[in-house]
Amino acid sequence: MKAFRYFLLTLMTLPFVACDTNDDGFYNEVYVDIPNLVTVQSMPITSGQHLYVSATFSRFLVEPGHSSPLDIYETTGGAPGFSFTYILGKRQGPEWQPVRVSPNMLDVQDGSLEANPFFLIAHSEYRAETEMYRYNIGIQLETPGEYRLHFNADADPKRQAELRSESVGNNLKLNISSTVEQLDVNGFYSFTVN
Amino acid sequence: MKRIFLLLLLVSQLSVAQEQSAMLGRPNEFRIDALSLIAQGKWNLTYERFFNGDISAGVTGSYANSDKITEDYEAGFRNNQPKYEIVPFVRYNMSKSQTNFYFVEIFVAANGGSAREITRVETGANAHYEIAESDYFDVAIGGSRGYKIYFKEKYGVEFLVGFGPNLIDKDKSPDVISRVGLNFGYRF
Repeated sequence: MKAFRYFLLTLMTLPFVACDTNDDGFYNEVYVDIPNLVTVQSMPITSGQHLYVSATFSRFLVEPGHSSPLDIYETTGGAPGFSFTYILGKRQGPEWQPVRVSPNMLDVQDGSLEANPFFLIAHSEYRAETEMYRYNIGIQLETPGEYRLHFNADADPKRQAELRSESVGNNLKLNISSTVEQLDVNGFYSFTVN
Repeated sequence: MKRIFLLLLLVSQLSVAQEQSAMLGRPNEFRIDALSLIAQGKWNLTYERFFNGDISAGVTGSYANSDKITEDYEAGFRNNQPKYEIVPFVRYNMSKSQTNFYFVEIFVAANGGSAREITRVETGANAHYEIAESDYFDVAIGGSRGYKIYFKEKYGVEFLVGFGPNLIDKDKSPDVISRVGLNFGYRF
C-alpha cells in the first residue's frame, strides 16, 4: 500500500514536471524595434476633414544596433503586408467612446483598413515595383469635439505601434515595435475638431 | 491453531520460493512500449537482464517519427524534434514477489535530434532573419517508478513513469526527458 501511494504521487507529479519546459512556444516569431514606421497627421482638423495615419516604409529597414539594413520581405518569406491596430476615440461627457468607422468615412490612398466596433486593423500592403509597404488612409471626422488616437496604450512602453507581418504558412512572423513620434507620454495623440 | 498457521506460512514461503526459482530460470526479457508508439509515434524496444536478488539492468532504444511533432516543429510551436534515445537503466524490485511487483529505476538517456534557432544572416549589403537547423545531442539522468505483472511467468505487462533533466545542450535539447510507457514483454 505504501508503494502504491508512492507510485500515485509520482504519477501526479509528472504533469507538473512536464509543463516546466521551454520546448513548447512560438519559435517562428522574430521581434525587432524599428522607430518611426507609423505616423499620424498632425495638423488642425475641422469637422468633415480626414485624420490620416500612414505606415509607408521600404522592405529594407535600418535596425538599431546593426550596420546592414534588415530585409523584412525576405525575412518573412515575402509577406504581402504588415498589420497594426489602432483605436480612435471621442470624448462623450466624462468618458471616451470608440468612433464607429464606416467605409464611406475613409479616404484610401494606400493599403486597407478593417473597422471593428472597438478598434481598427490597418494593413500596409507590399508593392513590388517600389519594394515598399504602403498604408495611408484618412478617417473623416464628421462632428466637432475632443478626439484621441492610440495604438497600444495598455502596453509598456506606451508610445509604440506594434506591426506584425502577414506571413504565409510556416514562414517567420516579424513583429516590429515602432515608436510613434506624435504620441504623448501616455501613448495618446489627442486633438480637437472644430 | 498454531500448527495450522505455521503450515500456511510454510506453504506460502515454498510458493514464493518456487515462483522465484521459476523466474530466475528466465533471466532475459524483451519488450515493446505500446503507449509511446500510439501516443507519440515513438518506437521503443527494451532488453532487460535479471540478476539474482532484486536487481536487474537493461537498455531501451527508441526512435521517434511523429507527424504531430514534425508539424509542430515546422510550424514553430517547438524548437526541437527528438529522434532517438538510448537509455541504459538499473532497477530494484520493491516487492517480495517476482511476478507482481513495484520497482524503482535509475536511468541515463543519451538522446538526440534536430533543433532550430533564428539567426540574423548577412547577405551582401543587407541582412535577414532565417531559421537555422542543427543536430543536438544530450544526456539526461533520471529516475522512474513502475509496476509489473507477469502472466504464466513469461508474459509481462509493465507501466512506467519517470523523468530526468537533460544536462549538456539545454538551449537545443528538450529540458526534460520523460520515460512513460505501457510495455508488453516476453521473458525467457
